[in-house]
Amino acid sequence: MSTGFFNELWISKMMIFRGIYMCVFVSFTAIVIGTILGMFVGLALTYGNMFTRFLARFYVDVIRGVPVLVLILTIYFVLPVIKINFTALQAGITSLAIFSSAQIAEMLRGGLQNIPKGQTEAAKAVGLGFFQTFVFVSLPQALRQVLPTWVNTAVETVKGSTLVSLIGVVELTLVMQQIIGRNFLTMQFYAMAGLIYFLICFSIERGGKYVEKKVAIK
Amino acid sequence: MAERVLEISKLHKAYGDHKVLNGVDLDLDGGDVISIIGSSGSGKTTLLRCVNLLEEFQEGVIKIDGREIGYSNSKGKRSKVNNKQVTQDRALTGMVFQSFNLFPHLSAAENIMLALRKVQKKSKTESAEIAQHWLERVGLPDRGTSFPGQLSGGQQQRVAIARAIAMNPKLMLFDEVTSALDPELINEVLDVIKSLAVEGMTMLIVTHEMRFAYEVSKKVIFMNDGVIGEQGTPDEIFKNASSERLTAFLKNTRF
Repeated sequence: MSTGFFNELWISKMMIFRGIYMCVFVSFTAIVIGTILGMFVGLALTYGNMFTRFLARFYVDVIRGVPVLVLILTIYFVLPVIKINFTALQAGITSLAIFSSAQIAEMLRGGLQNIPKGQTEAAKAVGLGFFQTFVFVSLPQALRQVLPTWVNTAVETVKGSTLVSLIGVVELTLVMQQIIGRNFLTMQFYAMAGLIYFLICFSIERGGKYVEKKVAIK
Repeated sequence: MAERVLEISKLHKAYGDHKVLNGVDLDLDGGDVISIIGSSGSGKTTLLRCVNLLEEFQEGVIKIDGREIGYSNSKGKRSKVNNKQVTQDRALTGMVFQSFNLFPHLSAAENIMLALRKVQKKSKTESAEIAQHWLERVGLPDRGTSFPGQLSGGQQQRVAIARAIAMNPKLMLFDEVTSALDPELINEVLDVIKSLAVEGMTMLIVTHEMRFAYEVSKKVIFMNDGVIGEQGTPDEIFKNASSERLTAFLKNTRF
């Protein structure tokens, strides 16, 4: 039994590596795009005029209120109706990016608004302009505050990436299902999948803790 | 004859219906120190914040070195100047706050260097030299690499003073800078301000430290309900108060 498992594992190693690669690629790309998008939305939430604030707020609330899976299915199956045809991979990355952007926007807003008013006043008083105050005073402090929740979002995105298997992206979960379909070692290979996901998420969290400590305000 | 650095005339400021400043006139010559005293809510902090353009005001004119700041008047129409001009006008004054407001993610030296580099566009080396000079001047020559969280309140406030004055402002504004300090840390900050006064720095000081105001000021202003209640030399104010309000106020404060 157990020799059978290791034998199967050896045979499927390339598939599993490709699955891991796909999982990491999808998550990483989604987090990068989501962070950039989320920054803009977060800025709109914090500094925008009434109209842009309303738009950003609407975007964030809607996205945060919708399950990731529904987002993925919508982007893959509904967008073609308005002639936007994404491949499964593009649709998967886009949905996860949108998902994480809403989280990131909300936490950036929180981080920026938590900065004491005295900080921006002191920055103004020494003659820094609005943009300089943002870049050199507000943002560095907000980012430090936001880091732990950002790591959380990254982990959530990795977990969410399992869902893109449902539209046919061959990432780790789907790879495991395919392997199990061949050898019926259900328990072993799902446990394997769990272990790999755990290791990915655990390293992200550790890495986050390390950076957090590194940049902590003394 | 020292030139006039600050000229405030008929300053009015209200938050909605609540009038905070009700026509304040004040002149300050180069090298002079004026202290503003008065109970909380009398408008002294607001007055200072108007001079630093941290507050908008509805009426009146503030001039620094003879030029109006924050607003412009053309053909009798008063309008706010653009943000860039506000930033430039603000740079004419240096402000020190009650709660220090040092940037916690930057070291003491970096706090001082930030605006030197980004606003005055000085080189890193030059900014570092200026920062070190002022750190020495406020008695913290070896704390440049310390972060605000590693400094005592008095030390933080001294760094804040160095940060403001390193920008070489025409005029320094001190807003109750010792109010948030433990009693034993107050003097180290006041001593720094006194030494600046001796060197001829022009200063406008809002304070609750009466003895300090008495010792350091050329003129003391007592504010009451958004107007100047009484003004005069320290002796006139503290020894010969003429109005009832001032007498009552002084009776309730430690000297």
